[in-house]
Amino acid sequence: MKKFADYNTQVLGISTDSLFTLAAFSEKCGGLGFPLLSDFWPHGQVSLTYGVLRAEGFPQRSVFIIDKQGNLNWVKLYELQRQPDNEELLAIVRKL
Amino acid sequence: MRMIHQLKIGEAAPDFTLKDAKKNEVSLSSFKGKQNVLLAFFPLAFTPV
Repeated sequence: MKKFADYNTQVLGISTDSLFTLAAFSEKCGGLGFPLLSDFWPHGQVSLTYGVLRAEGFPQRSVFIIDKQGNLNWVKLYELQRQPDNEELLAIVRKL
Repeated sequence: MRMIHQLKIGEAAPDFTLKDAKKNEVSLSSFKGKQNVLLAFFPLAFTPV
C-alpha cells in the first residue's frame, strides 16, 4: 500500500459489512494499512450509487480510481474470487 | 447479477461519507484537490467470495 501512497493515492476498502466485522477483519489481516469503510446502513447505499450492489446485498468486487479533481478515471469489475492486480492498478495511478 | 452501471469516466465521482473500522468518518470529497483515491469494493469480510 505504500506504493500507492508514493503516487499520492489513498486506498479505501469498502464493503457492506458492519463496523465491528470490519474492525475484526482488519485485525485478523494484521492491519491492512488503509481504511475499511462500512456501507452497512442504509444498507449498500454507496455500492448502489456506484452500480456494484449485487442482489445478494453485497458489492461486486470492483475498483474505481478517482483523480485528484474528484473525477472518475478508471473502473474495473472482477469475478468474485479474483483479486485485483496491484501492478495494473499502480500503472494507472502512476499516470494521474 | 444485477448491475446498474450509470457512472461515466471523466465525470465527478459521487461523494459519500462512511465510517471506517475505527469509527472515523471518511468523505470522498475530503481528498479532492489533494490525493487520488482508489476505491476497492469487496464482497464480504471473512469469506472466500
